[in-house]
Amino acid sequence: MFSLVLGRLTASVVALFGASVLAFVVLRVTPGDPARLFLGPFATEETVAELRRKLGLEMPLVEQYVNYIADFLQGDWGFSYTTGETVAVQLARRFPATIELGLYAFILAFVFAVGLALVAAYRRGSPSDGAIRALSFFGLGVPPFWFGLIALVVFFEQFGWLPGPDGRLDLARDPPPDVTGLFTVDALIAGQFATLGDALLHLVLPAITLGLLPFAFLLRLLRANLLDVSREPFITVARSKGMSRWGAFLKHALPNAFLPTLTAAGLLLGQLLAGSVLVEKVFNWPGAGLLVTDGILRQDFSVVQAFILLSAVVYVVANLIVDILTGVIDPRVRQPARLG
Amino acid sequence: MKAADSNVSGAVLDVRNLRAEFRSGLAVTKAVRGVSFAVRRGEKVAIVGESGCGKSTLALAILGLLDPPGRVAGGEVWLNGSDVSRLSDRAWGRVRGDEISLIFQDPMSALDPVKSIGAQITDTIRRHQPGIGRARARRRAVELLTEVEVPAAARRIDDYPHQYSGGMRQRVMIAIALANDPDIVIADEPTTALDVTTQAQVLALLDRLVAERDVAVALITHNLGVVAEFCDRVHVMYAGCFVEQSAVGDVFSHPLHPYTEALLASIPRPDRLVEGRLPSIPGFPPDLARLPPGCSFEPRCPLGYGREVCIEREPRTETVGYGARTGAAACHFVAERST
Repeated sequence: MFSLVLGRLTASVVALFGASVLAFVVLRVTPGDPARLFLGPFATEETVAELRRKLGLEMPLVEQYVNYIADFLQGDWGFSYTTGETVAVQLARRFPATIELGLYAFILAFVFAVGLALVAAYRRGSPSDGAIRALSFFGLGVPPFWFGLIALVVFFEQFGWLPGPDGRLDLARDPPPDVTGLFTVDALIAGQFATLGDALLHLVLPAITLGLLPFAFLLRLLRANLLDVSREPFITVARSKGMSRWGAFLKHALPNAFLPTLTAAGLLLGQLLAGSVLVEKVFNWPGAGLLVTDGILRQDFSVVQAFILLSAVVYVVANLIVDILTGVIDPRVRQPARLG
Repeated sequence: MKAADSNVSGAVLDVRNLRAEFRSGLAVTKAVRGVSFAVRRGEKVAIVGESGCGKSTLALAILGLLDPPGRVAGGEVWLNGSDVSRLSDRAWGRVRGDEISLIFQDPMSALDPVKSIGAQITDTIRRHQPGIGRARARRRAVELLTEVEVPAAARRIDDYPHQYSGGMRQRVMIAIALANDPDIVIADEPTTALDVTTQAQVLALLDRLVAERDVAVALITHNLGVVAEFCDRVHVMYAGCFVEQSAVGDVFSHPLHPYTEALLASIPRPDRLVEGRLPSIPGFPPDLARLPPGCSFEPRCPLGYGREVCIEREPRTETVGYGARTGAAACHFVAERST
């Protein structure tokens, strides 16, 4: 197990190095001069050249990269050209909202995908299987931002059942005392149940919108894997021991079908981060995704760059956890074969 | 564990006119077409036939494990004097693994790869002996592994299937099948996936363990060598039916059905190879979704009867006896052949 973790850690470092090079290069090849952008069109050539020197933009690229990484590791992620705030402060303020949304979206997607995949595979070919498969096709085909808008029109504008695109809480309500930055958790800690309910209501539509694609993807994958595994002889053997068909499905088919699904779930986290950029825009969700959309529109590239690199970190860490979990479930990964 | 109300006295398992089929669209594949046989306590019975004759479907049908699109279409399965063929999945759960168990053909895929060997043995023990407790079930599992001659059982019980060789996995399968002292074990090609040396060892082990426990065995195989070594009686299956039922010695010396004879002739023997070709039965088994009206073996019958009755009428199983030889066969000319 130790060597497994060590091996995956090494791979993670390599992946992060690649991501950092990419984030760095993307910023260097995009047209436009950051110094010119910052100083505006009326600054003189001399002032721009002066700033370029100060920002280190005249140094060789390798040196610039080393400085950039050194600064990044120390928490110096640059500053916003538009607000003048440091990127670290901005992201620190916005990231909890994104994490809360992503977490609920993922939990929703995961729970419903596993539950419905079990039902669909167990009742293969039945009407309920057909309905569940149709749902997964819908989820795969529908663009999240469109789905979000339609959901807003129906549930907010038409029926008024759920709050509209006004962020994480009603405008009149104060956020709970900051502990984790996740409003639902903080409200629970502070015992503010009205705030908790309000935060949850605000999460419903964005979380469903963001979770729809991962849900549909996981559902489809897990159903197919369950069907494959349920034809394996060890399922018949489990039933020959007296286990019911459903019992064999839960205890033997699910863990085995789960392994490839888990790997996909790790990859989906990247999808979730990318999706949050659009979904946050639709619901006016004050997260890092919205910060990035605004950053792109205002050509505020240090924000975008930090977001890319942070996303890479989250992605790599999530996949590291997935690899370790795979090892926990699958003895073939954990222990090498010892025949005899 | 009572043996009453059964038409074959002392039968542990009594299968009566069992039929199983697979539906796909409008086509119905009749994989098992009215099979009857009984197995007494401690008896070892073979069911022999080539691939696709319905052997494995028969095994699953007996155990009530046929999943859609397959289903039992008729007949009864009496186990220890009660008909189990119409039990619910839940009621079957108390019978399977306790009174009747299964040894599956491919040991490489018959064990769950993500559960330890010990867990896969103890779960069947604890399921059918609810009061036994974790520690005692584990001790029992070590005993069972020792009995099936897994070396260093106490240490290897926590290993996973991928750490066991094929022969060792099949020993684990035997341990699982015998864990709750069943009355009968259905062994579906238990040695087919193993190399010849391991085959002999596993078979000898199974032979010893069932003899010690007085467990009945229904051995499903295509390997006549295994039959000769292991079994008391033989049922020869062809196209979903039993075509011959005889004592093991008689099958080899005086086969009643032409199919049995052809099957025996197709055992490769180095001294009999003609121009280096392996002997085989010409043609293929019939399509079980479109069976001919007459004898299902007629198109391939090596004796080339070609008589009208073979083409038009399905032969009934007839019991014959001459000298010390008794048996039954489904051939219009069995009486003629046995004189």
